[in-house]
Amino acid sequence: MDNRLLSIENLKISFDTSSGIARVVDGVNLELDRGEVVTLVGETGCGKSILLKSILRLLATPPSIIENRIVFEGVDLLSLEDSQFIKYRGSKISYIPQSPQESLVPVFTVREQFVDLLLFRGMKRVSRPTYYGMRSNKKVIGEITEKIIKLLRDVRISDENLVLDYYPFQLSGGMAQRVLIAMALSGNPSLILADEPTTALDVTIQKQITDMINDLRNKYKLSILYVTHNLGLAREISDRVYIMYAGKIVENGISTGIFNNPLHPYTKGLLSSVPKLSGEKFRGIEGTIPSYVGPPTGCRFNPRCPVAIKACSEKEPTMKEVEKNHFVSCYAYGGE
Amino acid sequence: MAEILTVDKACVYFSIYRGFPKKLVGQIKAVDNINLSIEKEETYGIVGESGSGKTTLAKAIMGINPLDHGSIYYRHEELNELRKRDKKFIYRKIQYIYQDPSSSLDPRKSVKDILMEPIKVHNLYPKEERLRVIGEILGAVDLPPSDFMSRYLANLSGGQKQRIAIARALLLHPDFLILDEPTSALDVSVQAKILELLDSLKKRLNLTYLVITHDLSVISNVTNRISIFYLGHTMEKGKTYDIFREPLHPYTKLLLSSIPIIAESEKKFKPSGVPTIEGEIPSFVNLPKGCRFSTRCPYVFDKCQSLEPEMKEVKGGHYVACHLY
Repeated sequence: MDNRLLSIENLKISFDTSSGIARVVDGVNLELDRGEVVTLVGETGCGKSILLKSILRLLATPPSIIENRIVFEGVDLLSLEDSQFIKYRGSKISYIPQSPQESLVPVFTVREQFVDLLLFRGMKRVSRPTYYGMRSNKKVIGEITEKIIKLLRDVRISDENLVLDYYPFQLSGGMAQRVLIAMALSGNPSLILADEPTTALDVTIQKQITDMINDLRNKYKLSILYVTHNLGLAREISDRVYIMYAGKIVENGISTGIFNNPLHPYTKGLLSSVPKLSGEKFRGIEGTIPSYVGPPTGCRFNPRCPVAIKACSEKEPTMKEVEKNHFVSCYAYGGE
Repeated sequence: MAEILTVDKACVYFSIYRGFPKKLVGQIKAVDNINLSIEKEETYGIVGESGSGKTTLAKAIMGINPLDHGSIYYRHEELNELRKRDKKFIYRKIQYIYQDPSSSLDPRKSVKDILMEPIKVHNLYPKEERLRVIGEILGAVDLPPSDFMSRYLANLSGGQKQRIAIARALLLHPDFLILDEPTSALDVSVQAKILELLDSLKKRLNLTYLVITHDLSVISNVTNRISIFYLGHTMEKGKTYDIFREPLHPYTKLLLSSIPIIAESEKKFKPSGVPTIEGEIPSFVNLPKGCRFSTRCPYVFDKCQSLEPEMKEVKGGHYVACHLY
């Protein structure tokens, strides 16, 4: 069987804005094998979330323009009709959102939200009689409830029978995130896209959630594309890491390689900005992320780069394999 | 060294009413019997998970949340017993930098107007000098005044907004600053710059900081002493170095072992062999009996569930509230 689950080839996403075309994702290549956890790391506004949303086709077109290929299990998702794509979204590919409390509907209980999800997934339009007919069928609901309870146990919610009839405001942040992860698992996905699932949570809860995701990954043989800006977290959970800056991948490789031997000046800058427990001095990166309408020519990092040379502002360096499984796009390492 | 701020047995309670006519059904003890003393020119840190009462205490110091019991002294003056006129003067010396600059600064005002407001309220400087003062303060936080004076918030990045918030607090020449999660809304590269700025301002202007945060790696680098909060109680307090090298309370150990780190070499600074625990911070409405951490503590024994532990000094200046010690 082909081991490649997802490959994104030269993906370009741009938005037609009043001040010109904003190239928010510009030529991203990304690969993900079965059973792998890949993290995408970058600062706010570098296009991480947009990339995830484009995979699930959650961006309205227009104003967004998506070009080239996103290949999932050998099928180019971008060439599919909407009616075919419905089979993928939520079932084969599912999504864990960023802010758990805001992602649940406040006026429905956990049970109702699960029932709607499990009964009507993949349907485009349901008439009112069918909707109420299906929802009031006691036998079906009974079966579904059993399934929900099993899912809630999987995500380690201890009093699952109580939680079923809770409204989202009665759930704590960590609990709400568990419910959302259970929802993401409900369609037996092979790929989970996690958009900073633990940023809104405390460190102790964050650890519980990431440990749990790791267990579930082994149990269900999941592949996870994890977006985060927390470098420490990326190091601890992932097999491979992609570092993204201003809509481009600047460095990628296996996680030990990246963290033990960072090459790109941006990666180095990011790592040196993190406060260390050892009390080692930390410093930031000068400047801010550039505007996407008329970004800097050449390497997009060159105005902030401490080691920029003349060539950097003229032409963009290519991706080069410096060590085994460690790619970087920078003139300092022989990019052309 | 001289103490600049002392919090003595402070309690802030919120009442819960239900039904009609309103009936008192319970109390939330958001801050319960907290003692702190902050010395001049030090950086004091308060660490805790969300809902542990960090911000409530800071707001109590500012007089936003009234105290139910206890007292807070600034340079040996009781803040709650001050006359209104003295209060206005004293609160020029204590300034508060709010959590999220994007929502605590007025989006309809230009940077100039935002910074003009405190000057007008306190009626400082002659009118013709005010613009010059604002320009100076913008320069002090590394924003070129000519460029930023007439901008609005929408045209500023997160780091720049935080700099404006700092500038606004500095305008009144405070000597005590409360920083409520100063960097939680920022990226790491910007965070490092802001912390650097705060550090240089502190040295130049002889400021004292009270830093509130849940980010342990930040706190380990910027503070001299810390208090660990859990559900409105102090669990452990002492010198930052001591607590990070040798955490005593099981909760502190748990917190420290949960920090994600970026290099293998950092691992030796985390406590090892801490069992991971299930469960979340309990709600304030039905607090566990005895020690508040007993529901999640891996080392719990009988006494913990019946008796609340007292704060004990284990070593010089290192206090812990736990029956194990």
